[in-house]
Amino acid sequence: MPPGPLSREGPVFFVREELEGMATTTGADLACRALSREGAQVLFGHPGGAILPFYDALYNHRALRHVLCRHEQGAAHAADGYARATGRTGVCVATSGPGATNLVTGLAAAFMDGVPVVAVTGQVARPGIGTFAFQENDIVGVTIPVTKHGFLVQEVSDIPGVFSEAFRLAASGRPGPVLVDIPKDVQAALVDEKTFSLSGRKNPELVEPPQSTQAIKAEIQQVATLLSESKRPVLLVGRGVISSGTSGKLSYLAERNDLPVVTSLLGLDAFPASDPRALGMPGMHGTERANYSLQDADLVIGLGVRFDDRVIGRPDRFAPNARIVHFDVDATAIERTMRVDIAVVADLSESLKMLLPLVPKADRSAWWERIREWNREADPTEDPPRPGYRRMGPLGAREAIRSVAHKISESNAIAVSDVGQHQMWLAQELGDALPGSHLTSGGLGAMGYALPAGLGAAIGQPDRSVWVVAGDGGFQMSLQELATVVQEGIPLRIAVIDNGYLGMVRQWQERFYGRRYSATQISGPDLVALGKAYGIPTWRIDRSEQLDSTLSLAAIEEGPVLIWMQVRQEENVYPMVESGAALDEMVTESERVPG
Amino acid sequence: MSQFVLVARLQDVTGSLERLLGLLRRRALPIASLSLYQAEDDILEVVLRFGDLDTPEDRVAAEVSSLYDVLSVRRPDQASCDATRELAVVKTNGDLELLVPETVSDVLQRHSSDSMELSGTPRAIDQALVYLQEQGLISGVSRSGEMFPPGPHEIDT
Repeated sequence: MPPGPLSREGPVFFVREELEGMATTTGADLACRALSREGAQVLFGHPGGAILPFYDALYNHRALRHVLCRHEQGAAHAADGYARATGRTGVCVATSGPGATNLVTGLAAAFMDGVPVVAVTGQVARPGIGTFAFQENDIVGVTIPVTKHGFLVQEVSDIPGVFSEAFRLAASGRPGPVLVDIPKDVQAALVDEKTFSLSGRKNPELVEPPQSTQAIKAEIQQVATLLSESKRPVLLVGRGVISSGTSGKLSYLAERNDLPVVTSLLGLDAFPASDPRALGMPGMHGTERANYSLQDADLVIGLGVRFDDRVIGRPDRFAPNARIVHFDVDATAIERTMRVDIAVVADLSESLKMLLPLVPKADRSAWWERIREWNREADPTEDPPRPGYRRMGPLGAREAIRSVAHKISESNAIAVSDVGQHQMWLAQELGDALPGSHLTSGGLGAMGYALPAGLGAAIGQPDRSVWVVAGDGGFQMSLQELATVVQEGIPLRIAVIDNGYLGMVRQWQERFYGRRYSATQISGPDLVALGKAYGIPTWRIDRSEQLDSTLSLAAIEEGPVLIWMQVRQEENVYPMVESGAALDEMVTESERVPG
Repeated sequence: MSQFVLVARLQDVTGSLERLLGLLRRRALPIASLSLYQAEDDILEVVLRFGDLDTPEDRVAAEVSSLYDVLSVRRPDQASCDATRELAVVKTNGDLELLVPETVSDVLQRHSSDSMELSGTPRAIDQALVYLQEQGLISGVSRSGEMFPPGPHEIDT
């Protein structure tokens, strides 16, 4: 039936009399059923006018837990955190117009980092589309660059198939966000529920054929040959190892062929930091041994990593003597930033399964001797106190984060960091982390990510402790979600590293703009009073000697807890490779020349 | 000019062309020419000819293939890429009983009582027009000039 005359409510598919005697349901109910069928258990959302029929249907679907976030950006980040921590697809829900546009940053963060999220948005009724109706926005159009795909559901009969496609697409290949936009009249449309089967896909032609392993056989053989010939190989590991569930295969490969393993920011939890073959993080704030090993290597094998600018530095001077091999499920990731010699485009699980039997045992003692020479500590000015002694004085930021990282490792917790200096310090200090235990917005670098993402992670992993580490700038971008944490009883442990600055920007202003601190000094609320307002136990510390006891107290609290760490103001993150420099041109604190 | 040409088949649904063009814009891929036509019910075929590319051609093809709406991508052979075609609208002298040789029928797309449309290589159009002229059938001709790409009916060069 074509759309009826313009009205706020819009047309329905049948008048009620026509449906007498038929088992009827609504488009919104079909959507809820489809979500359940696809395995969704938790929805992070915020209701509004154009999504009302969906929320009405949700009332009857008690198996779908709804978490009422205080801002749609928080809902998108929470769905992202849930997905990263569980490996399942996260779901967020918003109304049309501003509700939908508020999702955009969260979707972009998930898109950049390859996180499976399905976003469900309400849209104005079909006759209102294109008329500047109240809260109308072309959200499918707006999100084209930050989603794998967007569906505008135009017929109620499409709902089951669209959800099936959306979940398949979100989780397949390189995972990412998918948007499903449902006009209000389509949600409200009455249909004979027998008419629509919940099985089947919208368009069977679009289902990807099973991947042929034959296609990559030759490349795999070439990689095995390169490995056997290489004297100085390095594995460069990214988040693809986590999303493909291949951490175990990675460990086996590294051990069997005695390979150094460098882990990107998003791959830190793919390989244990305590493993003797772990070299840590590369790139702008990477370790000396990671960066120098890459630069000196004769073979770099990238596994599920994007070779992004923060990792490789200047592309034409990255690993100048190395053959480059790139394993990735995403063909579009190949040669995005630099040339590669061999590309293996396939699911990592499949390609590593083929590679491992071809890899011989190896002993690379000579290469390890050389790597061990690169051991300048990241923070040479911070000598650890002698055993039995405790540091006293103003609290240092890195010192505080080191202690938090220790607590995280001790309790096998999930670490969620925001964006900025603290993010780099935590990445440098984090110990062993299971896959899916280090969450951060690596690609987009979205400040405000940590608190809502931590909330989502804690809901997805209720039996694990979750630590949120944020700066005072990022925390103020999403602190409204403290109310969500309290309402849902989420036992988050939140550490706010407060240096009174937008620290990373200030560091760049110090180094590259002659200390002209333009708009980076930032004030904030009294977090003890804020914690009290939300009913969250809160500690404020500003001295080293308060650190251990406070963290110990916070760790035994049931949670949520908030620790306000007021730290020295002008501490910088080192080592550092400046933009446009090669990885072996890094500087450390001791070499720093103030601007 | 670059000869890199891609032919993408995509679902004829709202937004599919926008998604394709948006991708090209975001990747800063220069388009030298683009043509679009309905290949089948619900399927569009888009012929993209790129300008000078900094991006490897395989990556461009992979990027286009990665779109959900894109059903397939192919790279036509060089001969097809090199081919051009021309359209001609011929005003004829009155009602015709069309019984024409292959020279004309091969390029004849449609005709009415007083006109015909021809499409083919410039050389094929020339030959057809010579025949029609010799028969005294033409009262006027309008030609498009050479065009790329070959379009739905690929031209035997």
